[in-house]
Amino acid sequence: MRASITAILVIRQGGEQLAESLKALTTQSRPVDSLVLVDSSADSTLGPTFASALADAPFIWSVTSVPYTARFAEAVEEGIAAAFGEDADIPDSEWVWLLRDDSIASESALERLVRSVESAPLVKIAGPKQRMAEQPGVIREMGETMTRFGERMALAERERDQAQYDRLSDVLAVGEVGMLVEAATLRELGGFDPGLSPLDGGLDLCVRARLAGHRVVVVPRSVVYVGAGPADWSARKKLSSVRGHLLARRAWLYRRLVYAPPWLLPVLILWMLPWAVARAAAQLFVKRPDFMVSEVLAAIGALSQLGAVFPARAVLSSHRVTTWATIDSLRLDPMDVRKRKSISKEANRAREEERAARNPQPAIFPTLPWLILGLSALSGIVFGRWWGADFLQGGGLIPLVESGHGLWDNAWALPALQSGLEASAIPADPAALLFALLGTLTWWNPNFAVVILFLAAIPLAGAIAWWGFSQVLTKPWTTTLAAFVWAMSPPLLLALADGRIGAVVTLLALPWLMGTLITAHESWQRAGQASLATLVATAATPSLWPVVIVAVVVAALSRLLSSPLRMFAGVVPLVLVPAALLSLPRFIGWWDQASGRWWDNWGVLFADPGQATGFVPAPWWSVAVGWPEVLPDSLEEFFGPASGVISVLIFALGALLILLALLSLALGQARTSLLFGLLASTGLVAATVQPALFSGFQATTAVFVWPGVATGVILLGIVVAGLSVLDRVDFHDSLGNSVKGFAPLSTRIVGFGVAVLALVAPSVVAVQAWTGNSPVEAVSASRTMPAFVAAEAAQNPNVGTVVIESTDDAYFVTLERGSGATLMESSTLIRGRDTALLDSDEDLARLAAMLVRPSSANPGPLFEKYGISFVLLRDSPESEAALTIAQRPELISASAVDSGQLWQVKNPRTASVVAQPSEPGLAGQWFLGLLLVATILAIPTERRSRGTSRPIDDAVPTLGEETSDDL
Amino acid sequence: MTSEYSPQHGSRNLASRTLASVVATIALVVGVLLSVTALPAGIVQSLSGPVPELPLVGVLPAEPDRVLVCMGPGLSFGSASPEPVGYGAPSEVFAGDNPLPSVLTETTVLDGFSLEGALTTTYPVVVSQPAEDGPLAGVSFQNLSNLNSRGFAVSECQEPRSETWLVGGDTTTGRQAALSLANPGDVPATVNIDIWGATGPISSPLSQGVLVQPGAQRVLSLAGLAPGEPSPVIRITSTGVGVVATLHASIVRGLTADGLSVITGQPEPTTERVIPGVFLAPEDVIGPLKGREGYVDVGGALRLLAPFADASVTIRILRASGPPTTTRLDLVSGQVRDLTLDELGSGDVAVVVESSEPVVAAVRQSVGTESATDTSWAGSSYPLLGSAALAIPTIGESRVTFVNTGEAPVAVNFDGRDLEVPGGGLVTRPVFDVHRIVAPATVFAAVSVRGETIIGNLQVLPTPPAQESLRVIVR
Repeated sequence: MRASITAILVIRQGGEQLAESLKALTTQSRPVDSLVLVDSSADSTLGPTFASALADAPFIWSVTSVPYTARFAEAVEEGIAAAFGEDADIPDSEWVWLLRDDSIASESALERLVRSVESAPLVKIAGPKQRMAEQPGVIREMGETMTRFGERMALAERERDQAQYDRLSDVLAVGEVGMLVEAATLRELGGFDPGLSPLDGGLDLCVRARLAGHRVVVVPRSVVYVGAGPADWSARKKLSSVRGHLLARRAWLYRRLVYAPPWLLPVLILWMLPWAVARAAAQLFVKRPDFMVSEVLAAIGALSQLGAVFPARAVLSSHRVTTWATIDSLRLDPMDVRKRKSISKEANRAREEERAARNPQPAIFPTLPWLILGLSALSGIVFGRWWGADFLQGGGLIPLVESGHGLWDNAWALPALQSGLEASAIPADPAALLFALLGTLTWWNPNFAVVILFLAAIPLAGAIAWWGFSQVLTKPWTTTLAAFVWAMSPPLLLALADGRIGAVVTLLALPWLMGTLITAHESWQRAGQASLATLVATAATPSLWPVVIVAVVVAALSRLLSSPLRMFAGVVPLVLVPAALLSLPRFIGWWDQASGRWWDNWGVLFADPGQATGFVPAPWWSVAVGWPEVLPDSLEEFFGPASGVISVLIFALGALLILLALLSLALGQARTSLLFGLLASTGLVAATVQPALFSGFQATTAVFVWPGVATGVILLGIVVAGLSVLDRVDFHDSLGNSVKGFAPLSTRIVGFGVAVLALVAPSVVAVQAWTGNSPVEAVSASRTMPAFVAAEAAQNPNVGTVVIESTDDAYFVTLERGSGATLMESSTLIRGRDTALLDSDEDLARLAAMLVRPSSANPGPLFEKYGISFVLLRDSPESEAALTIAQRPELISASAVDSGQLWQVKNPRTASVVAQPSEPGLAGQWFLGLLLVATILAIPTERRSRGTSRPIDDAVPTLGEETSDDL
Repeated sequence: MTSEYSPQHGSRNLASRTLASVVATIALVVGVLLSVTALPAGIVQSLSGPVPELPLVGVLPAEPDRVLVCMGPGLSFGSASPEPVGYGAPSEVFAGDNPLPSVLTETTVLDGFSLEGALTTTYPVVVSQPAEDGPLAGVSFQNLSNLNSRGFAVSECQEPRSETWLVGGDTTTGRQAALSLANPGDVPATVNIDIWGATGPISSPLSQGVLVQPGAQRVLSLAGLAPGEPSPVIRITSTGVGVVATLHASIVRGLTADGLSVITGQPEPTTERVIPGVFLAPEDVIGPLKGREGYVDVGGALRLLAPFADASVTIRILRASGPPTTTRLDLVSGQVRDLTLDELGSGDVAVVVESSEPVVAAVRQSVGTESATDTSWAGSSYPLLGSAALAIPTIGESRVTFVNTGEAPVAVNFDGRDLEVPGGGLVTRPVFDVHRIVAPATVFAAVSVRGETIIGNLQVLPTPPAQESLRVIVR
């Protein structure tokens, strides 16, 4: 029986491809008998196109309009109705050929399809081989199947057509484009399911046909060129991968609801959302955070389609004549599923390798271990006095935590015990979290972690910087030299010598932040790491916030063209929000404290955490070449007449690097130029502004933000840019022969000069350290109060000590708790509070007056109110104040030490305040959640390949060498 | 080998490189310009204003109560015992609005009337008064007349001091001196005693680190520290808390007790010493006594010490009428010099010592009859400025003497009436009971108490000025 073919062509939009599609229809070797154009383009100008394209068509054709939003299933239904009438019986010989406006059938496509169905009466659906319209040699799709769990799998997808699948015949399903289906069967099966649009409609129809006992075949020799996937075609544009994932996932879940046995349905419905959340979490682990939302949205979408599920189930069960078991053999084997997944993983890896090969990176061995070894030795030479120290103290370095206090007690909030024992808690500095984490590394003795950090800082900085620079530079020797210069840079050395622990941590993290930020567009793992690096850098040095924000925005802008959504909706929030959330409580505290006058309180907002120490800021040109401070006078005494030479030499490295960096603007890559401009300019502005930021009082000295970290930012820029110039010079050509000429020679000389000049700063700091002029010293016990107080504090951590210090014309009075100041107890909000007198200040002043002058007043109530057990007078034992305090019957002389005269209060009231470990607030909890996300992303679960710059790896033979191919 | 790279750069790469270089250059220029002009720093500074200073809190200390310690019973040493002995209780008179007397709680003085040699239960009296109640003064006196001790003991009640100079007494044969140290405070005092004699400083290991417990009186024998010294001068320094020191000098001629003097503290050495309230007995009374054996220390004498450096001194004797008598003298550093004041007439005089180097000075005077004499040491006075109170013993005739060493006359308000003290002169007035003095300029004042066989001196002590406020920075 000769089949009568009605082609139904669904039109989404007009244009070139529609014309070609129509033309292909007219040139079929076996022409169709009639054509129904189902037009959902809402484009009235298409009429002439039809007329001209189908002018000499050997068949009759008609046009049916459907709404613009009509789905494929509805369009096909309209087409059937137009061709055969609404409810009229359709003869068995009627077949329908489904086409789209982007499908161009090859000449023999229909002929071969028809031949296959005519020869086998059981075949009710036949599909062609779909090739890609833009790449005619590549298979788009050729038959479909499902996994055991119902996931759609194409039998062949995006593979070059080498006739490897041409023996395929019986398949579970075929795609809807080019599908030849018996019209009666199509109507009998209920047509396409409108719930499955735009994806999986063909699959579902074929599954139903199979269950109704029909055969479905793919005809490899019938070829249709298809322009777009069903989802893209349906949306009339190219959809993002996230949206594609959402649609595929939703269709899968919908089909699962339809295909499930009735008893399983409620379980599936209940389980769908939790399961989606779990899958979303799993997407995080596989570094696809962008799929997290689509997982959940797909589940919600599928559930919202429940209304369509039940009719679909009814249609399915009404035509099912065989069991599901009959199609099991047509499903994809689990082993094949695994094989396919591993193949796609390999394909990803190949792409990754290709990318890595475009950006060659230096090899780790042997330069990195040598660098660490050398830096360890230099660190020992510069700061050898610290080796074997139990504790380091002095400058900004105070004990991390005092015994008797939990390390994490003050990580989120700390009580301002200076103003009485009943004081409310104030939010802790973000750095407190870092300090607590640092102390946790050596949990049995948290203060030891500080010693380790300071001893290991230089080699550690070198190692981290090596990694960071290896993201920009390509050769091992330039990367190593850059890391060496960075680890020996004045900001890091000065921060170490002055005990600025926050600055040390930030300077360690800066190259990490740079390296992750410039590669954040490549993988979510890098973005996660950039988030952690930002967190560390901004928490340890809040004054870096503006620089970090500018850097992140510039990094996102530089990828604006390639992936704007990913950068601005994904990377930027991921990098900035956790750090911002951690800083939020302190920001609110600062805002409250400023009581509206925020503009004159900048310095406190950007204050360096921990104990502040003073410095003499250097002029801008000194900052530009890497020295944030004026050199101390003690150096001049040591070097004598040579100090003039030294003061010029210390600037030589920075000047040389700047010259090279300026050269890189002309020679270098776009990336290094941008890095140089961004880092050097923002760093310079930040470093010149920061010394103007007044951030409170440390004792009686006004302190300002240290510009050293911003100077480090400048250095980072000029080191990267300067060495990128040297990085471009090859000493060997691609055949491995050494190159002679001006460029390699001058590069060698300049590189050697940089290495030598990098040693000037460490020698200057070493002289300072070994002559005892740097504040940080090894001490035997971690406390700032006399031993007697510390012993008492071990029992009672909140024991109060009034410290009275004689200054020029006044007495300076403070109230210390426990064994003295610690990093975990220091707060920039307390340090930077305004100078208005609190009640507690007045009480303390009164108390001091009672003690240092003869007085009839009784200090007992004040001792009791503030839980004071000790009085420490920093004055000579012969002073009037000392003699007067000695006459106080309430006090017993406890000891006379270098740091002053100590008296103990008779029968002190033991402060009964029990230290409550602080809990994270709302912002803190959100922060912890995001931190978890960032950390999971940052864990390197995916293998990244390193492109290498070594020419030996290339398979290019050197001249004269015989290759195996020739043999 | 840069040429090798050029083929890799397509035109798009070149464009992006150029764009990046231009953007970077602009950024650098802007950054350097901003830094050189210090514009952002200037904006930040002008927004935040000048760096605030930590506020200086002025705290006015609550004035401690005025505390005076009286001498306790007049002390002497029994003939057989090395312990100090007191006989009975002295009498006290207080001048002040709200004096609150109490007593010390511990002493080393024996009760002279006790047969068992028990410690006396008569403790030195402590009188206190809140600072806001104005000036406070007290006098303690006792007329002793028994076999071991005879004479008139009188002294003003003194405030605790960390440094006290005691000038007077001697420890030659028949002469004794009991050094009384009283600690009215709440913490122990550690006292160092330095003694100078006629031949220079006297070192005594026992005199260092003497511990005086709170609320205790401790009495030492001067003879034990400086035996056989004709002219001792004592400095008492205390660490920890101030103490009150008095020296009870007694005379025994042969076997008869004949004279008692209580020497009180005088200021640290200065170049001007003023000793008002000196009573020189008429020559016809005292003259015959001097010639008798053992009566060599009857009569006027001036004791001088330049403790730290050689000094040349000018001594002026001021009288109520008539021109002053002037003498010049050179002192050797550290050596005490005694100078007799004979043939200078009689009556109430004042001795003014002007020196090139800091000195201490005191005057001895005597009265008496054939059967009994009494001696008293008058020390240098504290300068008196502002208000003061004065309490007078109820025994004998008392006269207060004001000395004005300045040029201009000073109108001292004495019990509400003005009393003009001429420049470089003195004024005396008879006094009894209690008095109130307000001196608008610095004067010196002391009281002489005398009768036929009794003589004593007491100082008019200034009220210490209120403390200045203390400057405190709290953070």
